[in-house]
Amino acid sequence: MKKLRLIFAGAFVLGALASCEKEEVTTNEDEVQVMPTTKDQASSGYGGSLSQFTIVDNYLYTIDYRTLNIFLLDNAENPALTESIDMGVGMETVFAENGRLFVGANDGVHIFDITDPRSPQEVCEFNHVTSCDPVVANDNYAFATLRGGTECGGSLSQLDIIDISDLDNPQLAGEQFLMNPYGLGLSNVDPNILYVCDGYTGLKAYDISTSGWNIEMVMEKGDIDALDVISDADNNLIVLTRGGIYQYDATNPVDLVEKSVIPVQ
Amino acid sequence: MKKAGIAFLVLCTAGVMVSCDKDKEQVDGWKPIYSTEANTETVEMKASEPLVNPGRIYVYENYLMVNDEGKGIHIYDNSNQSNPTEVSFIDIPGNMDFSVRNNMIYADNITDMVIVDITDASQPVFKNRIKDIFPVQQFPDEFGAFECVDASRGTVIGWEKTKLEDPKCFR
Repeated sequence: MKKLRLIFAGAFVLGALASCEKEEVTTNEDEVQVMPTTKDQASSGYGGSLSQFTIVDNYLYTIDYRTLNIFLLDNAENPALTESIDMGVGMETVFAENGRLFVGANDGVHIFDITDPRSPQEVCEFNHVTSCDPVVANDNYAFATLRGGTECGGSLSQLDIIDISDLDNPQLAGEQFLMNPYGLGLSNVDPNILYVCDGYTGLKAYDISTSGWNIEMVMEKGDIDALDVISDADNNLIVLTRGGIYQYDATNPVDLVEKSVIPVQ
Repeated sequence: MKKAGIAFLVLCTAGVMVSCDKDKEQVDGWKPIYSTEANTETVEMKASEPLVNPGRIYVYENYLMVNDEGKGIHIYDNSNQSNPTEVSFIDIPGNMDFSVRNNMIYADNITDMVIVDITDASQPVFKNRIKDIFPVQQFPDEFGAFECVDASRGTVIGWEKTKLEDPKCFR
């Protein structure tokens, strides 16, 4: 047991290490901002934060337990695999935002620059303890949930807030203790609201206007077993739960009004 | 990175050691779901199917699309969010994820990618299959104990939570 604790302590120290191997990314100012909650273009859809497939312009990115694949979709019926990157680590989720790909992996968050969409360059890696971890981001912060417990290999369940304003030096900017976290998503109605699906303890909302150690929980909805969330257009909030798919009027993003449920049968 | 790998290895070993002193105890774990369909390459269009184990949500135009883990994709007309109505279900064995562009669904079908046209969402049309794109995953997504895969029982299309006695495989 003592040994175990020591190992965990070691893992934490490792967790605090963040590494950036490559030079700073030059963000293209003209680039259309890609938010998960807004359509990147009229012809593509968007998924929740647990997605392993994501489309940016005319490229499809897919991840599996070992590879990041890039497909060119110019010939819609016959996508061409243009690149396959062996990551050597278990990957869980992929999220695109503002010319970057955020890959949630078992060992942390990997950030790729996709200025050249067919050739993602890993610019940054934020390591943490082994866990399951979807990630979303805005321009300055990445938000990753770490689900610990025997299922995921780690010991802690928490929300990590990572300051990515300097990609050469990503910093842990804050943490929130969670119980059983899965997906998360930024509100389309108020960019200062972050929804976090905390499994059997429900859907939570945090005010991230003070991004960092002081973010505050402003809503806790314990009556659903929340797994993932999409903040859609028309102030519509879609929540994936173990019991079915809930839709809420989120005009007030922290006072949700249920519109419908597609129940699990 | 290497250090993390070693730490993880040690962790795993420690995990195995811990689990050894509780003989024959039932532990939480995962077991493979084998395909019961004779042909795992058959993509079938249905009017609707009950929602069983939703794994992914996706918004495309006025449609709300939901992956049912290992089974396929439900398409709901969501123009009235207070009353989403299923317009079709695309039965794709082993399906876990998908994305949509220009009315084309790109979805995994075990190791293949399939492309389905939803220009008419109530009448999806199978378009193409790209073989052997995705690796066969012989272990569950989540860490912990699992029942080892027995290839003679068929293709693994998913994993379900179960109680295991004396599991031999760990992740």
